[in-house]
Amino acid sequence: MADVMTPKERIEAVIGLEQPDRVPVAPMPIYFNAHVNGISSKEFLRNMVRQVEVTERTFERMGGWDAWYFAPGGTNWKTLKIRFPLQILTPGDGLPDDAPLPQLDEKEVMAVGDYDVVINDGYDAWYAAYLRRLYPDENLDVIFTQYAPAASKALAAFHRKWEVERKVPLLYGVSIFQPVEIFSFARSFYQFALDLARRPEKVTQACDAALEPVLQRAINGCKNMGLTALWVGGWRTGATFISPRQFERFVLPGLKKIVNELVANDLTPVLHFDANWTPFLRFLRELPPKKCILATDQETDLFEAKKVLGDHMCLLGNVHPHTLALGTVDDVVAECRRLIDIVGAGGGFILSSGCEVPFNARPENVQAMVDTAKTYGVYQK
Amino acid sequence: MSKELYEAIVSLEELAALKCVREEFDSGKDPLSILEECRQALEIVGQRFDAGEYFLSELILGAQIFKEAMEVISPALEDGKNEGASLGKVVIGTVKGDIHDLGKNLVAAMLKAAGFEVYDLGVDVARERFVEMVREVRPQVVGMSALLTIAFNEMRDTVMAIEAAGLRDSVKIMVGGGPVNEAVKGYVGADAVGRNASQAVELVKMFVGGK
Repeated sequence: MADVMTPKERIEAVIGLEQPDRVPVAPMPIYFNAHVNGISSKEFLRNMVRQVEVTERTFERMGGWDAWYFAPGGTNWKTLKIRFPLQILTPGDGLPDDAPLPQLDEKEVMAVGDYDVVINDGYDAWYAAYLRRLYPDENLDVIFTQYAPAASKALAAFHRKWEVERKVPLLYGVSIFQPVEIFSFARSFYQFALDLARRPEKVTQACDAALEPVLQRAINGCKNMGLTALWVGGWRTGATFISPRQFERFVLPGLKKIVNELVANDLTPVLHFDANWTPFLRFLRELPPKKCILATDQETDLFEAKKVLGDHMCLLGNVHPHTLALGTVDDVVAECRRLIDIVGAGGGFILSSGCEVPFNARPENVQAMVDTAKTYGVYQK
Repeated sequence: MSKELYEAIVSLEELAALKCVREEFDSGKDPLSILEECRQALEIVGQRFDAGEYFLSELILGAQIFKEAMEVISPALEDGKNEGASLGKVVIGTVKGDIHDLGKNLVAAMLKAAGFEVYDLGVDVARERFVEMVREVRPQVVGMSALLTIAFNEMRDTVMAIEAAGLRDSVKIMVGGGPVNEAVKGYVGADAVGRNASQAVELVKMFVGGK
């Protein structure tokens, strides 16, 4: 059956929990794009023209998909340094030239006393000083004045070409790190876990102080580039890391403020929530209905999410990285069909990889995921 | 058994637990007996974590309380008996190409607290280093950790290197880390997969007990 909706219409339908013509598919290949096109991850992160070229080539070769869960052009070895609140090592810059992926080097760089600096001096002043501590030998001014604007320009151009002209929307481009996530990275999770018990008030006050600047920067970034959706990251605030009681106290109030404000600005929050969120799904009912996408990796039970949130928000995910890297095409098809049958029932679902398509995924497996959505995922009228 | 100390650790009351440890220590109680009480309490914390009643941040707090309690009593422990009699030896590390260590560190801390001698090789550990340590310290168990799927091949190659060195029959190999599951265990040729730190301790106990 031929597609009868554009990818953008399909994605808009599932965000509104309607049933489109078929299940949309939006995998997230990043370094996989470099690998299957024969360039190194180092080049992928240093040559933005090539990054866009190989990513688009993967898209075309696989017959296309419905949304860019990773969009190329803005992710380079310099901008990654100001995007993540902990030290990132990239191929040729902290890692061997032939390393396939960047890695985050988690260390306790933020001191206990820094909570007071955030509270008293403001988040922006603290973060600027923190980045200098994180990268003492890096010329950060050059990143802010040259690399970052170039990245924004490239993403804006990619958005125009794909979302505006070809109707394939971007779910990627700007990421909000919730303040509580920023501090958990900056303190290192071990120390942060102790902070939650030893100095809960400080953590809360610092999160409150950081919320507005973080939020406004993200909203401005989206407006400048014309983006209509952005990531709200949940890397360290799921049940793999903290308790439900801690989630309710330290995370949920800020998350609600962020999501409500984004929605008020006509932006779609893509809740990019890694690790296990299953015990916290019920809390997400407090977010506005039919406005968000909950995007999980394989650790969250998406079948349970359908039961808890199926009438509340669109779900995206979560083919296991192991299946994509080590499984057979039959394994991938079986896993996708199960997701389509159950999580996709009645709409409100985007088939995707559980977080990133592994660098070493078998191309035929990724192709099988895309094809299964387009054939098996057709909704019967 | 001091009910107060046990309760304080099990309920993760850091200050109360350390106050109890100091009081017991100052009153002249046998430090090995205090150590045993702390160990038993931390085991309950681990069980609660495994049962989904406690979460990682709480397991970390439990491990930290244990560590601080040891700092109080360790000066009084005789040399060579620092943490009581060793139940067995474990060599552990994050395999080459991967620098994630949160889970690996916690497994090492919980194993130490349970009474095992732990040789933590750190992160980005070459297979030759694992082989060298297995040959040198003759552990009963080797633990390999990885968060990245690209590290699966390195895990497999490390198992093969241990085998090629003629040491495979002398050790049990367990693997763990974010995406590591039963299928990965089979792929790399390990003996067991640990879903979390508490389970890793149980696996090691089983392996050592079964020897």
